[in-house]
Amino acid sequence: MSKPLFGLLLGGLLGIFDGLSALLSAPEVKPEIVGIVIGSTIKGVITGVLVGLIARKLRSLPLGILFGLLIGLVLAYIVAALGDGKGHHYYWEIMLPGSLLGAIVGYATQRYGRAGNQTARA
Amino acid sequence: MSGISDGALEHLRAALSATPEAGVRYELVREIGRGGMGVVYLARDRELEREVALKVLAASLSTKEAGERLRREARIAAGLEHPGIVPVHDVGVLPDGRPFYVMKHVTGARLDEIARSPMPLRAKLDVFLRVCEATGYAHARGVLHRDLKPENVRVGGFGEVLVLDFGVAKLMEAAERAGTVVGTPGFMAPEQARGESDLDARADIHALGAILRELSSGGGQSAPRALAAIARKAMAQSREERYASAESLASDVRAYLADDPVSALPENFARRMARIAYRHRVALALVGGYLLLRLVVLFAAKT
Amino acid sequence: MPLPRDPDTRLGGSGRAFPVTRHSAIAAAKSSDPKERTAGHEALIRAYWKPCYAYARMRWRMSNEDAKELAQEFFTQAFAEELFARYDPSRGRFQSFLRGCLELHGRKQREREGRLVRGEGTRAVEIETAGELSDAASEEERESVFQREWRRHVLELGVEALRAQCAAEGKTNAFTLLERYDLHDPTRGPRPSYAELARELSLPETTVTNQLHWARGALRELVRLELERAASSEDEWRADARSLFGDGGA
Repeated sequence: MSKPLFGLLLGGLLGIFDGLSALLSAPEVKPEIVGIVIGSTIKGVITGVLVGLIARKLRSLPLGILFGLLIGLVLAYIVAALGDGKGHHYYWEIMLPGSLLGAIVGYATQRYGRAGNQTARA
Repeated sequence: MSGISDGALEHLRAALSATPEAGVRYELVREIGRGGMGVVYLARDRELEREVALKVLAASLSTKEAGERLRREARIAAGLEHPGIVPVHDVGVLPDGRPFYVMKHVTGARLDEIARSPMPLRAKLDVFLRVCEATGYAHARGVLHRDLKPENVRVGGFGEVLVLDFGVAKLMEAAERAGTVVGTPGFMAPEQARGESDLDARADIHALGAILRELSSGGGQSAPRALAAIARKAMAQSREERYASAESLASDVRAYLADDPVSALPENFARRMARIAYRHRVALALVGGYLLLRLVVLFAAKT
Repeated sequence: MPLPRDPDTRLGGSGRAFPVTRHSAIAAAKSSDPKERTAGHEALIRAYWKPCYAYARMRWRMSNEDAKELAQEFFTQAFAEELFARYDPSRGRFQSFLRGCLELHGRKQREREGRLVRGEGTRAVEIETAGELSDAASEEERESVFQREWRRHVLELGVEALRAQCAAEGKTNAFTLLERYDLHDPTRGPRPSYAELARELSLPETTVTNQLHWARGALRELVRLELERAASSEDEWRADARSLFGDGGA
């Protein structure tokens, strides 16, 4: 499985769980949970694909984690900035975990998945 | 001038007749080392116009049989062709009966110096693995080293690892008589120190264990438990308890490097978990961090 | 392993063939040119007088003076009668031929002396050395003794020449090393080791090895020259060298 694909799947999966965890920290969002999960999943998928593409070209565990963290942070910020439609923005609740999830996907895509375009190591 | 005596006559004839090995072809330049087995000179091979190392053994060939044994052993040693083994180029006898052999002149850091250096442990272990490979190769061809020690290993500028003096111990024995105790205290296997004649590969395994111990505890730090256990197993008093081959020893070292379990150190459950956790420490830290963060957020939301 | 060598080439020494333009000592001794004849005689005497003398002492228990006289007479007579011209290479080596002639000469002389002793005068015959070669000794034994004396003599000639060469070239250490190591008489104790010689002469041991090697090589060359002077042919010269140096060549 290629790194971008792996990142896509992992990011999506983690995004689902991340979205569902909103039920624990903010039960009041229960009516919107489907939208939250979809949004979180999309965020995870995009993060995973981007980080996976980076991992194809760049073989460095620390940098992979860093890029994952930053991309996760930015996307999470966008989502948080949208708010819940009622004027509530859950910046910390979304951005912090989102960045860490990005870091996890960054780590995973560095360690696993086929690089594909890289020349084989001697 | 008083005439040449009968005894001197025969000696002189022999001296003039001797195919002039050491003198003509190899010009001794200077002494570069001295050990229990003999003296090493830097010499110049006049025929091939290159520098070589010429080691004169401290034995003395007193019989024709000794000379033939020496040649036979030298042929075996010269047959070892491996990038990690210093090749033997030539063998001969000085006019005074001392055998010598000629090998490639190897420069580079000695392994005992490297053991004391701040080189990372992983790099030192990589060197050690190459020594094991060379040793395993020689064992497969029936050649024991019998004097493996850090002083006999060189690491060149390009990272090449070379083991010196393979088969020399046998040359010494061939030159003198069986039962000659050859080896270095601290690295010699107990059966070797006792002068037993039926030595096998495990004598070298013992020495490899001693080398591993020196490498993993050099530089001041104490050896990691797994490496200490590997070294202990290799240096077991009874050879039945040691690794059976250089390859199995190397295999355990490789396992250590890959954070896999080593056969020398049986693990209980807790230790196994600890090892797995250590191996995946980054992932665990990230996931743990995420979960912790979620808990914090949850807690903050509740309050 | 040492490179394989062709012994004949080695005996020739750096590819130098037997000089065909030089007359061999024996041919020279037969020459009509008096100068050449003298040169030939001198070469033969130089090569073989001493072995004949030593042989005579051992063979007939002659005193120093008597043996010298015998050897002198032998050569004088041999040249006068062109004895050596009768040497036929196909029948053996020149040394064997020479020894045979010497035997004959010596026996005749002893018969003469015997007659003298029996009644025709007195002649003291001092016995200084216990003769190695009694009349009961076999031909092979006598031959081997003669060979040995010849070898000794040739090597002594070489050593003397080397001494002179080393003195001239300032290589006294090299000669001293050869003398102390290779000319050491084993009956006088153990041979000194390279290490001891190095200490004695304040030289590094590597220098001892190198210089000793050089001295031996130089000695080999000088001895080869001696052999060349006296040999009657290239084959004989090779045979002589092989006899002296063995099949290791030189």
